[in-house]
Amino acid sequence: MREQLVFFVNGRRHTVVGGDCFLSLSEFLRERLRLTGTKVVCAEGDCGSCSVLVGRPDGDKLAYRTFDSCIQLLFQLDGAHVVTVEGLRHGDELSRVQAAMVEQHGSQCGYCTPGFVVAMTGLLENCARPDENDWRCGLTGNLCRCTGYVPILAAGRQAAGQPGTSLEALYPSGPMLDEMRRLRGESLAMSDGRRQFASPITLAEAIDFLAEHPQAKLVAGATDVGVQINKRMIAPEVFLDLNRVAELEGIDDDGQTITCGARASWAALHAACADRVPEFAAIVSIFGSPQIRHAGTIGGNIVNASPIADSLPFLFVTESELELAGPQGTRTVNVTDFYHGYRQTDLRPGELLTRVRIPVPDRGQHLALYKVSRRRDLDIATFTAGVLLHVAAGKIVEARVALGAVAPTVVRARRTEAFLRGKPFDEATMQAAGEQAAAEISPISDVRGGADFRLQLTRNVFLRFFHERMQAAA
Amino acid sequence: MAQAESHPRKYKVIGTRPVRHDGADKVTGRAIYGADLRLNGMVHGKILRSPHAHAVIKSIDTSAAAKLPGVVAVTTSADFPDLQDKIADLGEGAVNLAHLGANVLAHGKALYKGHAVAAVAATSPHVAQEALSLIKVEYEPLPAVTWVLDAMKDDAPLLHDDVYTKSMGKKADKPSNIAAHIHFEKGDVEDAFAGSDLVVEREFKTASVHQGYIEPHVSTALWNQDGHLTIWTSTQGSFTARQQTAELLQVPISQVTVVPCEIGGGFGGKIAVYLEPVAAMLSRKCGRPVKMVMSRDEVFEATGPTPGSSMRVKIGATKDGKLTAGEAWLAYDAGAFPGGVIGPGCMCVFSCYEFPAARVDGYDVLDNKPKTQAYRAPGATQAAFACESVIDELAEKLGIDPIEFRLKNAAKEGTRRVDGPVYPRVGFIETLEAAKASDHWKSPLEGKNRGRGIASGYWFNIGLKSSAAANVNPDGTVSLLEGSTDIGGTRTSVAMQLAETLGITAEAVHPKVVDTDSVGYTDVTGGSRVTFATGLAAYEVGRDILRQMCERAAILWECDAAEVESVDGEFKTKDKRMTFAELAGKLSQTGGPVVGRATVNPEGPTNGFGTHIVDVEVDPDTAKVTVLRYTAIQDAGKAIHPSYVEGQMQGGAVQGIGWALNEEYVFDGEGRMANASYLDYRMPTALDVPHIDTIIVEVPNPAHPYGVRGVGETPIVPPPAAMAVAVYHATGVRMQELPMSPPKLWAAMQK
Repeated sequence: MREQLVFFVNGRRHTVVGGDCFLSLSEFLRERLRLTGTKVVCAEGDCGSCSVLVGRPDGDKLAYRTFDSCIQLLFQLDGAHVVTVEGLRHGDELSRVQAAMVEQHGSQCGYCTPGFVVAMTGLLENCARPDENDWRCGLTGNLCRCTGYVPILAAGRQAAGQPGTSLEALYPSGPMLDEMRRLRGESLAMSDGRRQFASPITLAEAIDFLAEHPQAKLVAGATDVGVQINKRMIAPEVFLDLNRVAELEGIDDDGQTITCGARASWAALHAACADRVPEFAAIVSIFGSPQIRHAGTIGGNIVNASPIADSLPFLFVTESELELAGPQGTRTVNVTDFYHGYRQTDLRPGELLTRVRIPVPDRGQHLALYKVSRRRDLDIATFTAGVLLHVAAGKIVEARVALGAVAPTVVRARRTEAFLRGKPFDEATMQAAGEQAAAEISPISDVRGGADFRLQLTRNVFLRFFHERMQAAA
Repeated sequence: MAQAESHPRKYKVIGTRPVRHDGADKVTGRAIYGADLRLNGMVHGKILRSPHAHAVIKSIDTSAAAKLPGVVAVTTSADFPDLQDKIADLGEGAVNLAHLGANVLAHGKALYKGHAVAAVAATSPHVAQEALSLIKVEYEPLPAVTWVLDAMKDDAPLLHDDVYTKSMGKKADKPSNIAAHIHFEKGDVEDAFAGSDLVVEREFKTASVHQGYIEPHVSTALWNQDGHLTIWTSTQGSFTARQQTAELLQVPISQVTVVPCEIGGGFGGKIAVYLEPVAAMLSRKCGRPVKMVMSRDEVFEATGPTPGSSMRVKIGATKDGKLTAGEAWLAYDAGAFPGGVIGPGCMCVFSCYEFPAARVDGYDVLDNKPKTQAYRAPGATQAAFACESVIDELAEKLGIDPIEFRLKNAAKEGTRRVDGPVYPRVGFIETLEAAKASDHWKSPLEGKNRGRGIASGYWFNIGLKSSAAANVNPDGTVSLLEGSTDIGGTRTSVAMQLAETLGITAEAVHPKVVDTDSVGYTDVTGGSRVTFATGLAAYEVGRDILRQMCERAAILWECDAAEVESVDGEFKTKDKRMTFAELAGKLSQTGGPVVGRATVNPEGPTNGFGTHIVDVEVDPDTAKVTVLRYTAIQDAGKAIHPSYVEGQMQGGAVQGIGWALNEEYVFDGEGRMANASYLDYRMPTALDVPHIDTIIVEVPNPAHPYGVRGVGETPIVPPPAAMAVAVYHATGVRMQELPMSPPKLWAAMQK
């Protein structure tokens, strides 16, 4: 059992023990290493001012992704290479992104600038020729209040057109990789007397730890836990880090079912679904900013049990299955049976979500997923819905409808489904289905929208579904 | 003052686009902002804030917090001097110091959720945070009011028992939430309405919105044992921060030095002090530097939003499209203390047009929100939303093109505003002509659920006091010291004016923003004044340097100084010439260094007009608005650095789009802000806005040697009105409420 964190920052190896392991990455960078180019603004992963690049082994080199360092706990970074804005220069020259930001006047007050420089570098690291949409989507995790984004996007285009130095060239991965692989094979645990964490590498170890510490806070991507800690909503003293548990990794596709480990990130899931279930990939792509998609996991989204969780309408209409593991062994639960109430799940004490099995809709089925929010991206949903219809010879053979943000949990509109079965697939049916669905729910009003608005969105979904199908057919 | 005519129209530096002097520092993360500062022995301060929107503070017990290991100081308003009835002129107007002080730390009553109640300093931010939970405050909650019309009712919860409505110089006889009533009138309004062929009257409301600067407020103070106080802070005005802090602590102003750090945005919200006096008091108590950084929720809940408003605008016109009369009734909330931005709102509501007769009534209304602060053209955006919406409706009903309608009535040289002043040469008509000629206006908009809107806006742009000094270096460069904190690139736009004056390159000027002991008095970076006024100071510094350099050349050439003239970076007589750099290298032989200095105080506004065009598409099912195309047109007088002018126009337009579509303070039933985070207070991302096209119009300002007008604020004025008109053409619904968020627009579309 290793009892120190080992990771790299801008090519330098660092070891950390004790209380500092529980710091956020941003606080460690700013206060311990005095790398103050990383700014903390919202402390909840909305603004991207704290963006850093995190490199982890991917084959024979490191793959770098942009993360919000304010909501990463330091122990999550074991075995990773963190590159900050200070680490992007080569020699005494600015990087191409930095130079382009200066030349295109992409910085006014400058507070968001380091975060943008990092996010743009991360985008170019993973996409050689980004188009306009890639740039705009790629920078949704970074807020700028001064420029209107115009000169920043111009800087991105300029940088993309110039030769640049890759992070692999700046920081050859060879020496780091060897140590990272070794670190990956070691379980890790630490206590500072008040708080403790365990970072096991097998599921069995994780289940044992949870049995001993039922109060442990589970950490995978920390996109939610990090926010709750920063906002002082929780102050956990025991953490179970799931980042290194091998059994929670991986995504397989056997042609009928996509099976993914609970720790699969949104970015990884997007890659796996892009061709197979483009409707879900589209939802994943507006799930959050790149920073959030790199960190957040499907398991976290499911277990968090929010009625507005973006993934759930899809999982509900496909009747995905959840594999749960605990001291008594492994069991499987249909996701539609998993939620008992607001933020309440079927998980028993000591159980973990390990895998998710998603039946891929076949060609005869029509799937549509909806998310309504104020902004286009990185936004909390006001309303979500999933509709899956199997239509044969103009008649609805099978119907599944899931609605989010209208009840304490995501719900299946069972009466609407029953109403739809056997009916002709036409405008009148779908309009009536909308009325039926609206009668089946009683949403609340909150800062994101009123109950009447949500009822109307529910009605609209069915007609929209119909018109979209008609348009696609034409 | 120098006349524009006496200077060459052909510029070498002005109008070019050099990279900013602080560019490398910003992109490498090396620029030092307030939060990046670390001093030896430094401790960390935190503020305890009221959980109630309105409550009597019956007692505060800090004894347990003071005993927590690591805590080094605790303070409440009881430690501060009694400032009852003291008034101070803080540069942008008179301020009641008792109110300013009570906003910094509550005095007897908490007036909004998040109101500062007590503060601690400790060896780490985490210990300070823990100490806050040990402070016992006994509150007696009172009913709260957060909507301006509710606050004006006779039976509304009263915020202050010592505020009486001031109206036309008279004070009312009983306390009220209406702190002030403003009234302007021009001509015979009733008569003029009676003579109108068409009158449109509409009511409008807008929600409070926040400036949303990315950098949270931060201050570090060191109260030295000799009594000298040094403050490192993020402020739009180091001199006003110095004065406010000195007044609140009742120490001589010379005992305070304010060191401005790099500032991560302000937009008007970083003029009032919040943390500075508290950090100073904590430092005085513990003898160590105290650093205080706000979290994002503190920024939302306890610093200045811009007012929510209720407005009624009535405008009359003749059949042939001449405006006859206007009437506006504006109520803006001031938040918890008097002195909101109703004044400029009243002055701007009809400022774009020639009204033969008009009347404006405005009300400064107290309610249980944070004290409102300036936000980019403070008060003008709300008023323009109302006025421009009515103007568009009039044009439509009269069957006149909206640009032609505006052209028929546009304010121009000689137009008298309702509040009195007469415009000098202004460029409003030119922005309208440029809009008419733009590719955007000339391209048809096609497609279902789409609409195009146009609206105009005005902001004064102020002058005020600026100082600067510059030292000529032997290598022919010049080091420029200025007091204007640089938010949008003014180091460079000011340096360029000195470079132009001296005939050297922008890169040969090294600008530096220095502390309050190192430069003459300079007013805030606000009012779109820096490139104008501090630029004017730099111009005068340049003239001072040239005058001295001519004398030095005369010494070298043994002639009369009057025989030496300076042209385009050269000094010459009939038969001799020398470059600026050559002479700079010889200064030591002619009596030593040359330092130029200037202080200026230009009076009057520089008058910025803008016109914006926007195309939108509205989803008929969800009422979500997508902005398809946007063009901002503005008179800059003379664009010193065109990229920076465009940057102001684009940034302002996007803030205006956010204000129009999504941004709002949402209050719960107890008057508490329900969305105090970026997660629920939605500012636009790169994906929410299209490319913002810009057209700069240049109608030189006669009151500046290079013709500069302020440009920073006008761009936020037209967007909400332009967006509302575009939404109308897309949906048939005239939205009279901001924001036009999906739930609100959807509800309006159902009617």
